[in-house]
Amino acid sequence: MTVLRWSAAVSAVKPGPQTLEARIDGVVVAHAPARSRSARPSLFGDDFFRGSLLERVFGGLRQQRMHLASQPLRLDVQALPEAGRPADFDGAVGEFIFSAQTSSSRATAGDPLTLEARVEGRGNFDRVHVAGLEVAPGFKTYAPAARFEGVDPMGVRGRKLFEQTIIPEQAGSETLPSLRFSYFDPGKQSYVTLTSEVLPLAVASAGQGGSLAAGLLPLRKDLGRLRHNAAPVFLRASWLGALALPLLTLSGVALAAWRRRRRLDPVRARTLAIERTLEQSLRNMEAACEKADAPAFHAAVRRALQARLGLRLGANPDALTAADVGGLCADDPRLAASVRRLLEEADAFAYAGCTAGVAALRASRGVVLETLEQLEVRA
Amino acid sequence: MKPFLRRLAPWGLLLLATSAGAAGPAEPASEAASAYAQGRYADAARAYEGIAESEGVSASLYYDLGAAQLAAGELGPAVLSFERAHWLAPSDAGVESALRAAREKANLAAFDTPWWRPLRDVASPDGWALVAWLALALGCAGASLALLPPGRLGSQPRTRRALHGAAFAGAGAFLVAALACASLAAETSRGIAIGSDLALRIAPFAEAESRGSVLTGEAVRLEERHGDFVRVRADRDRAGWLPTRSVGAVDPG
Repeated sequence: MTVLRWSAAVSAVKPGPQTLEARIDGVVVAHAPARSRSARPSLFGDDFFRGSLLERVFGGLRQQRMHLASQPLRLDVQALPEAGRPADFDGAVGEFIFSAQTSSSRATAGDPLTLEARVEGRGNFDRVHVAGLEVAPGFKTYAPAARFEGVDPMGVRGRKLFEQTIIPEQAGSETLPSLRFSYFDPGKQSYVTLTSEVLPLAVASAGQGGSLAAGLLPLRKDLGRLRHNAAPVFLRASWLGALALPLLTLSGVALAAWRRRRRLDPVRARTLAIERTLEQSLRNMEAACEKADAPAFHAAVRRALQARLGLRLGANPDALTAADVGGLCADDPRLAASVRRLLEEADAFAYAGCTAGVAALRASRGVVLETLEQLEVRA
Repeated sequence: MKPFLRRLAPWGLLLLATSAGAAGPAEPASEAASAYAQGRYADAARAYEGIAESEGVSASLYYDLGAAQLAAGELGPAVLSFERAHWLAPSDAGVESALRAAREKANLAAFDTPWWRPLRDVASPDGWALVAWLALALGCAGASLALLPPGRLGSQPRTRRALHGAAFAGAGAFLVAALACASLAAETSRGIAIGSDLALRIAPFAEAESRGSVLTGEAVRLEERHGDFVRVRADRDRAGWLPTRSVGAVDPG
């Protein structure tokens, strides 16, 4: 008969009566030898070795599912006592010894050291925790990393190591504070708190020729802000877009200022007003011509000529009369004569009550337009 | 909550999340520092490379990586890491000192730095980019306010002079920062020879004939890439093709 054993460590997490029961659901694979069937009933039943003729002659592998269960074990789990429970107790139960040591008793400021805390013994190592050096003045500390080295396959006996990186920040003779570890000893039925020895540490300054001379550089304590895209910002399109923002703002403000100044320029404003007067006068002239309204026609002609002369000379159009034309168009006597004649005609129609037909007005319109064109070209 | 604050809330949360995420990986860094303390320098270097791969990079990370590589005797990669740290934090005296030590250990000649280089190195590439933007914003703001109608901002001559001064100062600072950025941009093609195969080939093929070589840790200019090779140019007019795995760009971006 073959006996198979499975061992496992259990740790109770709930006080009170508990039942332990082992169950195995598995498949048994057995070799069926090429021999005659025994008359004796098989351990696994008759069907187990019953196979084909070929299997019975040459043998074969047979498998069968099985469901096994042990007799239940009754356990009375006692609760851990509340009285005397240390603040740093984290559920460790067993028998342990505790020690701590540094990788070196001499160091250079800025050089990392390893502080190793060791818990050895027998118990539930999954609940064994050592906080390590948390806040120590003059030291930069990192979170400890735990590692378990079991002696037995169940993990009940062994040692758990807590390695913590510490970096002394200043030179001088330092001492590392002792570490604590608390557990419940079921043999003594009491809590036990173990403390490590105070560890002396001589720290030399980095300038005293420590690590650099030895080829080792002191590591940085803080890695700083990590980023995946380390390309310079100025090579990114977003930076160029950000640069465009103030430039666009300035361009907008400059454009608005230019438009405002243009709008407020008195010379330009007067020029625009005269141009509007000229356009209106030409429209009135056309309308009066169609209606054969000679006074209105000549009044419009006078305003148009005054406007064109005002634009050309930069003078007030309303102040220009026929008497001014000679001086204003001194370089072109023919043009001056034409302008003067038109203005005089306008005066005659305005003040002497003269009349004219459509044909005469149309003829005058041609002369007026030609004169205005000449004045514009010369301007 | 007011609508304005409600709109800002997601951005605030995003900023908080970004800040929290950027705090850095304490545990892998601890493992790397622990390996370094125990003398397992190559393990420490691999751990720092893992952090760079998964969490991102910083000048201090490259410094620590370079320290581990230097201790492990990986001189070319150490020089590259210190160069990258120097690229990200050019005013860091510790990085500069470590870079000099690594170059000396790799038997490389000291750099002949131009006179303006220390001036440019007062700020990082991102620092210069920020200065350029702020200077441009200052200049444009000064000029924009100076262009406003006199009644809007007060017609005091002193105010006008101050605005004109701000505009000119901003324009000048922008010019300086833009020159620094242009100079830095020209250096993004810098590389460091790191591999063991440092023969300068005349063509981008493994079988191609070589005409000289570069030293591990030597600075080169990356000119052109072709397949698994990159054309580099070193000082003394040496040029040729190196396998891409044998050279690393100083700009980690």
